[in-house]
Amino acid sequence: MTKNSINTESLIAPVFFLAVAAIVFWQTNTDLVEKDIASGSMQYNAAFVPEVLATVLVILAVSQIVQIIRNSGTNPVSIDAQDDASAEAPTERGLAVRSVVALVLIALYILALRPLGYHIATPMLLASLFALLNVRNPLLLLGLSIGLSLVSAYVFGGLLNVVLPAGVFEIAPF
Amino acid sequence: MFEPLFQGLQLFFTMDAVFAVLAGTLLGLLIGVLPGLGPLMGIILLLPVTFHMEPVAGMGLLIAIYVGGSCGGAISAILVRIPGTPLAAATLLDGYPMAQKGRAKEAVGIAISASALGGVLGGIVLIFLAPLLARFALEFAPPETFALALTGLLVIALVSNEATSKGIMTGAFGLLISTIGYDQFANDLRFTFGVNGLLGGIHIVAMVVGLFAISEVIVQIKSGFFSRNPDVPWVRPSLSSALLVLSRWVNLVRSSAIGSFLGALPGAGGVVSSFTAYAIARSTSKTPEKFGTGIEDGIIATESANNATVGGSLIPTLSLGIPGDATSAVLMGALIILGFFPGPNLFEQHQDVVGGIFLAYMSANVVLFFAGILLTPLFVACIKFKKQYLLPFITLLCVLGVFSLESSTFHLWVMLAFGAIGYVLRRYDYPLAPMVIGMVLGPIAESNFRRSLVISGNDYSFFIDRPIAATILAINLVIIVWMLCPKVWKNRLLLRA
Repeated sequence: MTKNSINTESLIAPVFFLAVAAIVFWQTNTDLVEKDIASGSMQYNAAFVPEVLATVLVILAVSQIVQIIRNSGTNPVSIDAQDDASAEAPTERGLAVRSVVALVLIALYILALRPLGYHIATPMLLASLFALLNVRNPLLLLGLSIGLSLVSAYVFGGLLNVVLPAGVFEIAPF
Repeated sequence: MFEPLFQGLQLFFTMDAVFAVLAGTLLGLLIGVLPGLGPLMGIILLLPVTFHMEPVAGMGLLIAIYVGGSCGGAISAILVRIPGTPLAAATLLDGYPMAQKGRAKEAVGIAISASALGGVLGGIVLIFLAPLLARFALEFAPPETFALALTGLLVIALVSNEATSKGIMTGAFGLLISTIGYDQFANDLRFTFGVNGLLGGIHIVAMVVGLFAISEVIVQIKSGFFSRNPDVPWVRPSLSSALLVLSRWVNLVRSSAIGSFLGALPGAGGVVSSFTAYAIARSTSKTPEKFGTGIEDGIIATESANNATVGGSLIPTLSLGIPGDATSAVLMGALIILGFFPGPNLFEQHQDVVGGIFLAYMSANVVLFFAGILLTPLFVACIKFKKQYLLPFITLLCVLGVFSLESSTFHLWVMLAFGAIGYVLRRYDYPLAPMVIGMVLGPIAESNFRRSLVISGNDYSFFIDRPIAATILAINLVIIVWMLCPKVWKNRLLLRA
C-alpha cells in the first residue's frame, strides 16, 4: 500500500536559508538604511553584495522546495515501510535523543562555565557525556572526567597561557 | 627559486617548529587511523592551539597533521577494511585483499612508504611551482584579485560534485557570514544586531569547529555503536618497504605527478586523485587483471597520489590565496589569523615564512616515513579505541580550543550554533566545504570588487580592459556555462573527450 507525502523534514534546510535571506533583506532595508550605507554607487553600498547573495539563496531555496514537493508526488512512500520503520524507532529515536542531549549538555556547560569555573564545569560535562555514551563503571567515569579535564587545563592553562574561568570558587591550579 | 628555502632555514630549525612537525605528523597519523575522523578534523581540533605558537611552528603543526592524516586512514583500510578517512578508500581495493593473504605487514609498509615518497615528490613540485605562480601573480591588481577570488568561489560548485545548487547555497551562506561586522568601505557595521561579539565578525575557527567537529560528534552519537571494538591483527612493517616502492618508480612518479596536478586544481582533492592514479596504474599495467586482488602497485598508486595531493593543494593556496578545498581553506584561514595573507605578496615580503612552511611540509613527510613504519603497532592499537571515550575528548578539545581564542563564551555559542547548523546541513546532503571557502574568500572578493570600482570611478569596463582580469573572468564564464550545462550534455562531452 502506498501514499504520496511531502517529506517535511527535508524542507528544514531550504526554509533555514530562506530565513537567512529574510534577515538580510530586513537588515538592509532597516538598519543599513538608517545608517545611510544602503544606497549610492556600488563601492560604497554596504547592502549590495549581501542582497545579491540573499537573492541567490532565495532563488535556490525556492527551487529546492519546489523539487522536494515535486519528488513527493512522484516517489510514493510505502505505508508498510513506515510501519517497519516505526518498529525500529525506539533505538533510532533513543540515539537521536542522545545527540540532542549532547547538544543541550554543551549549552549548559557554556552557561555554567563562567559562574562555576572550568574545574567544576568541565568534569561535570565530561562525566555527563561519558554516561550518555554508556560508560557505566563509576570509577572509570569519574577518573576519566577529572583526569582529562586536569590534563587539558594543564596544556591550555599551564603551557598555552589561556586564562581558564576560575568561577565563584576561584579554583585556578595552573 | 630556492631563496625561500634558505631564508626559511632559520625559522624552521627551532625547537618549537621541529617539535610541532613531529607532533603534528604523529597526531595526523593517529587521527587518520581513527575511523570517522580525518586530516580536516585534526587540523580543526588543533587550529586554536596554533594561535599561541610562532607562525612557522603553528603552520608546521597543521601541515604535518594534513600529511599524517592523509596517510593514517590507509592503516585501518588495510587491516579492518574501514578507511579511516575517505582519502584511503582507494587503498582498500588492493590493501585489504593483500592483508587477507597474510601480507598485512607489507601492505601497511608499502602504504606508508608510498605516502611519504609521494608527499616528497609533491613537495618538490610545490617548491618549484609555487614561487613561479606567485611571481606571475605579482602583476595582479584588485580587478585580477577579484576575478581570481571569483574563480575560487565558483570552485564551490565544483567541490560540491553532484549537489551543485546545494553547494552554491552553502557557499552563499558562507559569503553572507563573512559580511558580518565592520565594513571598511561604508565605514560602519553590518548585521551585528547590537551584539558586541559580532563587531569583529564571526570567528572562522569557532565556525569551522562547530560546523565540522561538533556536527561530527552529533553524527557519531546518532550512529550508535559506542563500545564497538574491531578485531585488528598485530603488524610491524619494516623500513625495507621503501625499497620495494622505489623499485616501482615509474608508478610512484606518475601517481605522484597525478596527485600534485589534481591537488593544485580546485575542487579535485585527494579522493579523486587516488582513484585516478589507481585507474591509470591499472590501465598501463601489463597485468591489469591482478588489480583488486592485492598487489603492490595498487597501493603505491593510491597512497603516493593521495599524499602528493597535499603538496599540490598548497600551490594555489599559498601563491594565489585561492584554496581548492575545505582543508586548504582552513589552512589559509589559519595563516591569515597568524598575520600572513597568502598570495604573491607573501612570497615577496615573507620568503622566510614561505620557506619555513616548505621545510615543514618536506620534514613532515620524512617523519611520516620513520614514525609511520616504527610506530605502526601503536596506531594499530588505536583503531581499537572506543567511541564512548573518544567523543567526550573531542568535545572537550573543541570547547577548550574555541574558548582559548579570546577567552570568550560568545565564540562557544557560535560553535554550538554552527554545530547544529552543520548537522542539519549534513543530514540533507548540503556540502559544508563551500561554506568555509565562502567565508575565507568572501572578504577578499568583496573588498577587491569594491576597491576596483573605487579606483576606476565606478567604471565596470575596468575589469575587461585589463588582459589578465579579462582572461580569468572568461575562464569563470566557461565554468558557469559548464555548471549550467545539463548533466547529460556534460557526460556526453566527457565521454567524447
